[in-house]
Amino acid sequence: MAARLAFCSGEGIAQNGGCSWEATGRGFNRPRPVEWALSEVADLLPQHVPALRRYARALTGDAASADDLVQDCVERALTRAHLWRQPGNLRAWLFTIMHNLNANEKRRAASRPRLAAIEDVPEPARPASQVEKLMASETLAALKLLSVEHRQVLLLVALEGLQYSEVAEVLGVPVGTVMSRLSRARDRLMQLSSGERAAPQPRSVT
Amino acid sequence: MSTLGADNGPVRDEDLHAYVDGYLDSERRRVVEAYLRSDREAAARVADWAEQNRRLSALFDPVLDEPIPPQLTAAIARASKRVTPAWPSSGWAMRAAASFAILAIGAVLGFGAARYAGGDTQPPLQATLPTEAQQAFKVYVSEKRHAVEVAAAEVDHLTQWLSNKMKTKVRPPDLAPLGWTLIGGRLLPSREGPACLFIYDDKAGRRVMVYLVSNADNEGTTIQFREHNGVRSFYWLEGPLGYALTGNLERAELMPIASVVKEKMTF
Repeated sequence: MAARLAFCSGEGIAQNGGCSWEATGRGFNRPRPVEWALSEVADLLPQHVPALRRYARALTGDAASADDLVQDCVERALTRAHLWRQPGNLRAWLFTIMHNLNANEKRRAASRPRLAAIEDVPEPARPASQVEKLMASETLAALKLLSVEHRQVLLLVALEGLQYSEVAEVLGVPVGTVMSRLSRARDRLMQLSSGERAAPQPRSVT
Repeated sequence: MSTLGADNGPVRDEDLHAYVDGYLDSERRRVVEAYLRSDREAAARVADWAEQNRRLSALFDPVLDEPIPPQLTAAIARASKRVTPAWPSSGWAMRAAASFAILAIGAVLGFGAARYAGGDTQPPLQATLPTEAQQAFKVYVSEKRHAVEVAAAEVDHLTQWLSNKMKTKVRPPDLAPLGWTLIGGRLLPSREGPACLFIYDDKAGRRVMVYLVSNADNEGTTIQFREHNGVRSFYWLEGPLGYALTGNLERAELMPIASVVKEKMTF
């Protein structure tokens, strides 16, 4: 049973309905009572927690604030489960909640700004070579210097593998803005971590 | 999202990003690849971006395998529970389902913690399995002539050979009813010793792969999902083996295949 629960994904239910819910005879297209939305979100949420933690860690650069952010996000998602509509993309919805929470926190903290310290980066799973370690610390230092807007877009795309349209949804900006931020973030990160090559201007390349 | 802009239009900045992130369909990808052969500066830029993706994953993917902090597990259980008593249809089945959901959350989140509590410094198999399977997928997805060592025509030989290597019976599952034809299989090295890979394709030429690795402690897990840059895996441990079904299909399309693999490969 646990296996079946873990198997049910946000997209999975939405697209093929092949989960254990079928046995109850409830269709997914019918409006569902609040308590069903809650139990769906509660069932599906745990499998997204590791990715939420990864993104929060990379975004904030600090393990403790990252987990605070994830905890707030999880609590908010469960208290507002009725706002999640099937068929819907639970993962993108969770990242949206996290983005809004982080933006609110940023506004509150605006009077007492502090630099994010990326110090709680986990040890690599395997022993890294000296060169790899050097590259990793370069990348880490460069990431820290990116603006939050650039870091968000880059991490959602490169680390979390969200589609550009999903990133636009999460951040509440047009896809065009996502693309231009992504382009600038990538060139800026390259510039910062190599320190040599100047980033070329974004352009049409034909 | 397959492409941004018209399929036959000029290659734009957006195409280069989508190329790096794996969001182009095969036709557009060929156009971009041809373009990159003619523009070395763009090719260098694209290579830099791909390297960034790789470094970011290397830096932060280990977070995925960390145990979930207990206060986070507790917060989820608390938040789920808070709403439970308000359920109007308070039959025993509903209550049982609610309690079960909370238990399941604990079980899923607690699994990593249990593994780490033993002071095990090596990452658990469930952490390395999807990475290894996805790496194998990336290498063999575009390999046309030498994708397999033993072709499907010699399936009995394939079964016997790989079963000997894996020291347990491994037979490629029949996925033909789902439209996936076995191309063949190959032996691969892994941290756990020999691993094997069965490669399937469909009429459109897409591929999915079943990756098997030895599961020395015989510990089982639920089915889990991992996605990285458009490559998706469902994976689990059961009995003597760890399993991963990997492809670049949409998750919802991959899921029923994983389900059949799991069903057919039970020992």
